[in-house]
Amino acid sequence: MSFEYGLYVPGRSVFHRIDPRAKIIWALTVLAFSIYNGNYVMNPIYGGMIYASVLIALISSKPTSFWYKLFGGLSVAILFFSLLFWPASVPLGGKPLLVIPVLGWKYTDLALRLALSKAFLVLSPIIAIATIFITSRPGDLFQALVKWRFPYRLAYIPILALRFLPTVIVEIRTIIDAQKSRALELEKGSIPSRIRKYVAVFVPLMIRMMKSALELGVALDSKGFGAMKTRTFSKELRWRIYDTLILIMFTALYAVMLIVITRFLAW
Amino acid sequence: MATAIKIEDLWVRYREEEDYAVKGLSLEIGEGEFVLLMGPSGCGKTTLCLTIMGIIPRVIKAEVKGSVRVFDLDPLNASPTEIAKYVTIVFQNPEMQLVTTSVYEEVAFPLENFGLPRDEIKRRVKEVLEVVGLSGLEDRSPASLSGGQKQALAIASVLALRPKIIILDEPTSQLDPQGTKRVTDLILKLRKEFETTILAVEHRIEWAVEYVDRILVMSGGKIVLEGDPKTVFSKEIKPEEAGFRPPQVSEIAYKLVRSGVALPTIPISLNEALNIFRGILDERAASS
Ligand SMILES: Nc1ncnc2c1ncn2[C@@H]1O[C@H](COP(=O)(O)OP(=O)(O)OP(=O)(O)O)[C@@H](O)[C@H]1O
Ligand SMILES: [Mg+2]
Repeated sequence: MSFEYGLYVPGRSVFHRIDPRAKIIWALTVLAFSIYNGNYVMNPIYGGMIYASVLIALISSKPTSFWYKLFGGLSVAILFFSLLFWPASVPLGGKPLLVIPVLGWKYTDLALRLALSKAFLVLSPIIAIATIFITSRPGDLFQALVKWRFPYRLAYIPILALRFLPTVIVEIRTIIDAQKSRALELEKGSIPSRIRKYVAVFVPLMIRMMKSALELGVALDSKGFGAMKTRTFSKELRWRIYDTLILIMFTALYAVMLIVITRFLAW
Repeated sequence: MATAIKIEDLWVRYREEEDYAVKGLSLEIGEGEFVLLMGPSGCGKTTLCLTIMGIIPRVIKAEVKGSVRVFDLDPLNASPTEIAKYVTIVFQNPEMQLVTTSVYEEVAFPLENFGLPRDEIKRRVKEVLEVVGLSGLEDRSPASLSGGQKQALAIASVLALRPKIIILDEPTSQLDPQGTKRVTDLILKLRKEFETTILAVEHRIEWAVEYVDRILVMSGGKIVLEGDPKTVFSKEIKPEEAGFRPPQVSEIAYKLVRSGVALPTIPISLNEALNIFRGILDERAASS
């Protein structure tokens, strides 16, 4: 992955074409319904349905394989740890399904519900937010924030972070190569010695970044960044009917499913 | 010829430094002039450029004494918006001056910051990308461009502001030979077709020697030598001291002179050298 556009992966999917503001609202909707389910309803089927909807959003936007690996791995890890620790740390009643011998952890049906709901509570919003970044040009996200009256000087900071992601990756590779050529073997040795070796990568990186930050500040100033109170956007974001419809569709889906599932599929 | 830049007795000392980086420097550059600024590393070239831009002391804190004029503007006390109408700068490292994630956005960025109308921005971006030869790459990310293309993009983004003066601080020093050629050709194009006033810091001279009006040689925070290329290279220049190499033909001529060959003048370009050598041969043929 070169991250040449930050996290953005160019494409022409539905999610690529909707207004970034609609995507942000959608992600907030996912967050709200996930929190509600994970904390109050605790219905893993409903949680799983929200999770499936964000996965569909992600897959339909055809990201690079990096993202599949990342979220595949993350999903497995979070489900695993959630199933391991929630039942152990919160004593709940319910039908015991399984008891771990020595440790004495009881897996009741309630515990399983809790664990799954909590896992989906974490996973769905993360994937939804990532989908925003994967399908929106950083410049459009910037414009979305400015349209919502965020001060533009502040709103540009995360955009710069995205822009310089590839630069930082190249810098890290260069430093690691340079240190390797001086026989610094990062993959070998005890943990303390490995930590010391990573410091040998981190310190030059910070020094170079500080120098770069100064250069960047000067470059931004010479391009008039911050010179005026407001700025124009030559390609203006336009909210279309389509964006409203998609938002209504998702919100209605989440609300209707909430009612249906809690009524008829209550676990 | 109107005066584009006029500096009188300029002293610049960075905060927390004991010594001055620029020490009593004076210079004058006329409108439409193409000037090269040369000199060893650390002699204060970048400091001078940043002071003309007003970036010192506005962004980088320093003590500044003396007077700087850019047309009728005092950059030390003017706002970035005013300064940008007169003068803009391209830096050495293409990576750190590209701040967006597409070629289009990069050129539009300064225009948007200055609040230009939308249609005007689109028109200028199109026009400028044609000038620098990046049309058709609007959606590409700057990170995916070659070094020469990156620097051409950086130049495009300042050109779009239509400044009267462009300062280029070592625009080619981080580029490979191809990238260097692309950028130097572009600078010459600005010179010939648009008659922009250009102040370029450069260590290489060959590409510009026939077009440049004046060379300023800096050392220790001052201008120590100044004149058209012919005058500057008429006396031997030692690269180790000066921080730049004279044209190769001039270096050969210095050697010839040292070994006792009498040359009418020190040539600065290949054509000139050929003429001089032909002249010498003709003379010898005539006298023998
Ligand atoms: N931000 C700074 N803070 C303190 N000192 C600085 C700063 N920038 C430059 N200097 C010092 O000021 C002097 C002049 O530096 P300057 O960068 O202007 O030289 P230069 O001629 O551009 O050199 P180079 O060819 O290496 O780019 C040097 O001694 C340098 O160490
Ligand atoms: Mg410099």
